[in-house]
Amino acid sequence: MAKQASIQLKNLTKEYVTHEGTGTFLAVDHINVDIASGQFVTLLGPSGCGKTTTLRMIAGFEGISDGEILLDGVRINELTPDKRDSSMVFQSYALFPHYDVFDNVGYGLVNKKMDKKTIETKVMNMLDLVGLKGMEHRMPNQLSGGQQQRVALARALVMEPAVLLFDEPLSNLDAKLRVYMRTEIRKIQQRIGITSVYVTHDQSEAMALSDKVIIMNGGHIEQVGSPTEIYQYPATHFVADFIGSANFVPAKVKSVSSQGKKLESKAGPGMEIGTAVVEMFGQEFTSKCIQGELASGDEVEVVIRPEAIELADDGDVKAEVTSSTYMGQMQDYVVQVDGHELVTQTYNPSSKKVYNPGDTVYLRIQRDSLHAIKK
Amino acid sequence: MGKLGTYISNQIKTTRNTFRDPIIATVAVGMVLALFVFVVWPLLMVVKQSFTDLDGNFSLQAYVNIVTMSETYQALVNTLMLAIIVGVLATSVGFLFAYCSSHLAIKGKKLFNLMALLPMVSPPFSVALSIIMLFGSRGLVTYSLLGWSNTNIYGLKGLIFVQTISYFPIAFLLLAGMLQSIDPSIEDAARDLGSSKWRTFSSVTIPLVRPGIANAFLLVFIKSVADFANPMAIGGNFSTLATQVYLQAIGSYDVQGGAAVAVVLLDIAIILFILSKYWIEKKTYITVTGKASRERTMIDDPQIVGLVGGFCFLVTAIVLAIYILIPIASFIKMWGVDYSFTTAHYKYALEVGMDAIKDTTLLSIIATPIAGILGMIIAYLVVRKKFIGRGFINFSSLLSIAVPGTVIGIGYILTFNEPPLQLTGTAAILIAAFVIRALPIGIRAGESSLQQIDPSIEEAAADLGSNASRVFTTVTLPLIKSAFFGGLIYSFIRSMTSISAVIFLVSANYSLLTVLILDQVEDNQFGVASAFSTILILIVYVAIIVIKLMLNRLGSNPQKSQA
Repeated sequence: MAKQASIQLKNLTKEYVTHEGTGTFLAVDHINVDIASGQFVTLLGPSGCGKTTTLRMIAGFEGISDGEILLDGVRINELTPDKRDSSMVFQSYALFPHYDVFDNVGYGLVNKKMDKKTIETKVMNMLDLVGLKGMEHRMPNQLSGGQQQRVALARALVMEPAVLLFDEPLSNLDAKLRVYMRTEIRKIQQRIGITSVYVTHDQSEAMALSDKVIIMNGGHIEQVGSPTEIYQYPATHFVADFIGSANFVPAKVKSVSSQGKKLESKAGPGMEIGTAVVEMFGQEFTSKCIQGELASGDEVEVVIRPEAIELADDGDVKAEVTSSTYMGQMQDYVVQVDGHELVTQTYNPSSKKVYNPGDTVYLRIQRDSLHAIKK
Repeated sequence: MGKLGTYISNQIKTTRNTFRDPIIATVAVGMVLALFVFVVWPLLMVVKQSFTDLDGNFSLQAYVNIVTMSETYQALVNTLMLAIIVGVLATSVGFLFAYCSSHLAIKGKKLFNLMALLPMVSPPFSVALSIIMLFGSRGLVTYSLLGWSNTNIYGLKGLIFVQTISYFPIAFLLLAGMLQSIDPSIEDAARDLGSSKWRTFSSVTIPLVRPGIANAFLLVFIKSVADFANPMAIGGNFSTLATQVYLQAIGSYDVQGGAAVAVVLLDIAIILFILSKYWIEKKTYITVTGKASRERTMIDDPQIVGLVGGFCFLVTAIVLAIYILIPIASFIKMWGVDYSFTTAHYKYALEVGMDAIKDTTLLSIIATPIAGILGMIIAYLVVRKKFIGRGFINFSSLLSIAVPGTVIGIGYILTFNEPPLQLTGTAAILIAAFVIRALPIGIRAGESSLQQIDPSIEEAAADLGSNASRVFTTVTLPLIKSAFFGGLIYSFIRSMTSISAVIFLVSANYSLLTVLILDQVEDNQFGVASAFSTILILIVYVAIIVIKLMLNRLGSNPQKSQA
C-alpha cells in the first residue's frame, strides 16, 4: 500500500503578469479544495480555466501568489518541486531521451540515494505492474505512445509519492488507446490507493476516472461533486453545458417541496436534492433542483438532456422536426417547440420509427431527468 | 507611476520565486557580476576615458580631434566605405551560394559547407597572406605568371578582396538556413498560379528572405568594421578605425585618442547590432519548425544551374587554393624569388616561437572549458529562468559579439591596469579576453538547442527529487551535449586565432602565436608567417579531433538517434 495523504488548497491564487509586464490577471482565483486520502480527483475545464496552473502549483513548478497548499495538514508552499512528496505524469511524458526505460524509471530512486539492488527490485516490480516487463533496455524513441505513457506512469509511481499528479496524460494518444489507458490508470490507482489529482479537458475521461470532479472556469470553481452529481444535478448553466450536451428551457417555479434527499458517494457527503414544480411549455412538470436554491415564483432554466426526450406520435408536448441526422448508434433530431429549439437523441434508431424534417411529433420527457437551475 | 510600480513589484515577485532555489540564485548573481566586470565595465571605461583629457578633467578634445585630424576622419570614411562595399559583395556572393545549395540540382554541394568553415578555423591572416603571395608585387600570378612588376595589392582593393572572401561564408550560412526553411509548397503555389521561374524567384523567394538578406549585410558590415587583422596585414596606407585605435593607443601612446576612436567604432557596431537583432530579426516571415514538410523539387534548368553553379564552384576553387597556399608556402625558400623546398622556416619558427606556441595553446586549453560551461549555464538561465538581470545577461553576453576586439582590448587596458582588479601582464587577463570573445557563439548554440527541448523533461527531473545542479548535470547538459562540444571546439579555435583584443594585452610574460604571425607578415617574412599559421592550424585540428573523441566516448548524441 502506498502512503496516502490528503491535500487542501486554501484560497489558492495565481496572479500572472500580463505580457507587457504592467498588469496582472488571476489565473486561479482564491479556490478552496479538499482532497481526502486515496481519492481520485479530476480538475476539469476548458483551456485557460486555471486547472493546469493549479496542478503545477501543487507540484511546485508555479509560485503561489496567495493562499496555501497543505499536504496532510502541513503547509508546503515554500518547498521546491524536488522536496515535495508528489510525482507528476506529464502531458508530453517528458521521458529523458538519453536514458533507457530502466534508467528513466530508476532516475528518482537514485536521488533518494537507494542502493543498486533496491533500485533494481523496485524498478522491475514497477515495470511489471505497468506491463513493460522485458522492455527495460529500450530507449524512449523505440517505444510506442502508449508504452511511453506507461514509462512516465511507472517513473512517477516508483517514487511512492504521497500524491500522484497527472497533467492531461492521455491527450497525445489516439482515441482507442486513450480509453484503454484510462481504465489501466484507474485500475492501478485503485490497487495502490494513491491520492491522485488529474487534469483534463475531456469530460468522459473525468467521468470514467474520478471519485470527485472539480469543474473550473475562468480561475473559479463552478462545482465540486461526484460524476453523477455534476451530470444529473449541475449547479450552474456552465456546468450543465460543459458536461455532455443540454437543452435549456426557461420556466417558472410554481412550488418547492420542503423535503430533500442527501446524496452520498465516494466524493464524500454530497448535495441535498429537492423537487420543484415548474411551468414549462404551458404545462406543469416536476423537476429536481438543489435543495434550498429555488423559491416559488423564481424564473429558472430547466436542463433537459437530449437522451431524456423521446419522440412519439402522441405525448405531452407537440413539436415539429427541423432536422434529422442518422448517426449509426442513434438518430439526432432538432425539434421546434414554441419557438425553442431542442436537441434530442434516440438510441438504436433501426428498431424505432424515424421522423423526417417537417413531421409533427410529440415529445415524451422523462420526468425524473429534469433539473432546474437559477437563471 | 502606478504602472511602473506594478511592473517593478511583478519583477521582484518573479525573481523571488526563481531564487527560491539557492543554487540558481548564486549562479545567476555570479553571472551578472562576471559579465558586468568583463564586458560592461571595460566599455564604460572606454567611454569615460574618451571624455577625459591628459590631466584627468572632462574634455571633448578627443572627439574634436576625430573630425579635425584628417587621419582619424579619413579612417572613419575608409571604414564605412569598405564595409558598405564588402557588405554588398559578400552578401551577393553568399546569396548565390545559398540559393545554389537550397534550390539547385547540383552535385557536390557539401563542398560549399566545408569551404564555409575554412575561414572559421584559419588564423586571421591566412587570406591576406595568400592574396599578397598570389597578387602582390612579387605575386605568383601577377609577377611570376603575368610578368607584371610594381603591382600594388595593398590598400582598398586588396582589402575588399580579402574581406569578401573571408566574410561571404557568413552570409551564405545564414541565407542557406533561411532559404531551406521556406516551405516548398509556397513556391509551388506560385508556380501553380501561373508564375514563371523568374517571377516565383522575384515575387516569392526573394521577399521571403529579404529580412535575411538585410541581416546578412549587417553582419558582414559589422565584421568588416571590426576587422583588425586584414587592415593590419594588407591595408597599407588605407587605415581603418579598428587599426587606428591600436596605432594611437599603443603606437603613439595616446590612450585617450585611441579611446575616442574606439567609442566611435563601438557606436557603429552597437547601432548595427541592435538594428540587426531587434529590428530585422522581428520582421522574419519564416518560422523554423524543424519539421520538413516535404522535399523541395530542385531546379535543374541547365542554364540556371550552369551559370550559378559554375560561379559557385569557381569561387570555391579560388577559396580552397587560397587556404592550401599557406602550408605550401611554409616550405618555399623565398616566395617570388626562389621557389625551392626548405624546412628552414619551421626551424626558425620553433626556435623563435616555441614559447608563444606553448603559451597560446595552454591559455586556450584553460579558456575553452570555462567558456564552454559558462556558455551553457548562461543559455540555461536565459532560456529557462525568469529573474531581474536576465535581460542584462542576455544583452551583455550578446553585446560581446558586436563589440570589436580592439575596443575590448583598449577597455581591458584601461580597466585592469590598476586596482581594484590589477590584471595586466597576467595570464588571467588573456584568459578572460579569450572567454569573453568565445562566449556568445556557445550561448547561441546552447539557447537554440535548449529551445528544442521540452521544459517538462527538466521539470520531471526536479519532480523526481533532483536539485537544480543535478537537473542541469544529469538532464540538461546531456541533452545539449552536441551544442556544448560544438561550443568547446569553437571556443578553442576562437582563442587560438584571436588577435584584435589580445594584441593590447600581450606582455613580456606571455606572447601569442597570432601576434608573431602579424610581426612576420609586416616584415614580409611570408615563409615564417606561413609556417606559424600551419602550426596553428595543426594544433586546432588536433584539438578538434580530441574534443570529438571525448564526445564519442560519452556516447552517441541522443537527439541524433531520435529518428
